Amino acid sequence: MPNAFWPEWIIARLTDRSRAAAIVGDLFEGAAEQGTVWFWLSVTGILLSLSWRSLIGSVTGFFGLYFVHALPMPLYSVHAVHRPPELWVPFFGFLGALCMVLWVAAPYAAVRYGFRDSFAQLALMLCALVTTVIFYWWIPAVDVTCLAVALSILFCSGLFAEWRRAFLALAVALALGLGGVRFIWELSLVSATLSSRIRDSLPLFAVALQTTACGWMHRLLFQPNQQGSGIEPAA
Amino acid sequence: MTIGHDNAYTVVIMARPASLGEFEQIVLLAILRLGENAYGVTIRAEIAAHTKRKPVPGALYTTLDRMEEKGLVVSRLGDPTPQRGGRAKRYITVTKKGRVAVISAQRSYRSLLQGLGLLEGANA
Repeated sequence: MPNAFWPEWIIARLTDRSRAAAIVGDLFEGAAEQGTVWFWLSVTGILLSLSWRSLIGSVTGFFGLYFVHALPMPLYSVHAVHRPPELWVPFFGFLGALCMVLWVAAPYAAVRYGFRDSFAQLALMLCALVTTVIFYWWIPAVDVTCLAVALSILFCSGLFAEWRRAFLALAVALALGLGGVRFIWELSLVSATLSSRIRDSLPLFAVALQTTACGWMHRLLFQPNQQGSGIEPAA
Repeated sequence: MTIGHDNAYTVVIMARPASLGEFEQIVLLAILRLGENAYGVTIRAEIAAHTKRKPVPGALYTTLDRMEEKGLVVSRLGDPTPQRGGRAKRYITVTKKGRVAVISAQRSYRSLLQGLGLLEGANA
């Protein structure tokens, strides 16, 4: 019988523990007939099947961060012409940080969960909204439209359970992401004392943190039935 | 779902059945055929016996996960057995929603097949 500790441990990272144990148990039954090579090939296939969306989502999130990293220059030129009032500067600082984490979270969620998923839809909407506000805040019609959209999102989040869950999951995931960005910012301030390898890996760390937070929250609020059972027989 | 009623009439809106892919239909039908004994190994065997193609485990488990997320199936854990290294089986059961979805999909197939005569004569 093959040693299944590591396969089960890795599969449990991608799904829940009882599910991982059941999958490995099934593979044990199959391995009795089809052999050890089949067992390991199946483990590899299952790992790929369970993780490919997450991996590609993380890569997309990294490209999102790369894109948002290129935004400050055009943003400075916009804000040089349309300088925001002094009181608004902290608000724009917050929106800038929010924009950064949203540009990681939204592409990740779209790839990982698909466009039909309310969490992904909300992340994409907020990403577009925040980016638009930052760049076009000086056009009154844009401000009014964005405010109306933001209020509609809040209204829908209060009204529908699905959107409420999405809003809560995204809010917590973004808070964790913002905390991570803050931590990375503090680290970058002392980056002169860090090795170049660590300094270069800070954006990767930010993406990993944000995507992991999104994954956790989505799993917690959208896939609670994967943790347990309860039979509802077919009628 | 009943959205309103008075003395004259009751308005009932039927929830639209979930759309199913081909493999999802095959898996749901296999689970229905197996009844109480549907878990990973038996589902793969049932599909292989009836379709002459053995699905890879990765595809089957991700499909089962997806269908559970969509509420088409539910699962429960059985007792651990020594043949499985002390691991429990995860038994799968089709929900009402899953049953409605598979019936709707099969009706569509039947409707499209009607009049074509593909399953008659030499093809039967």
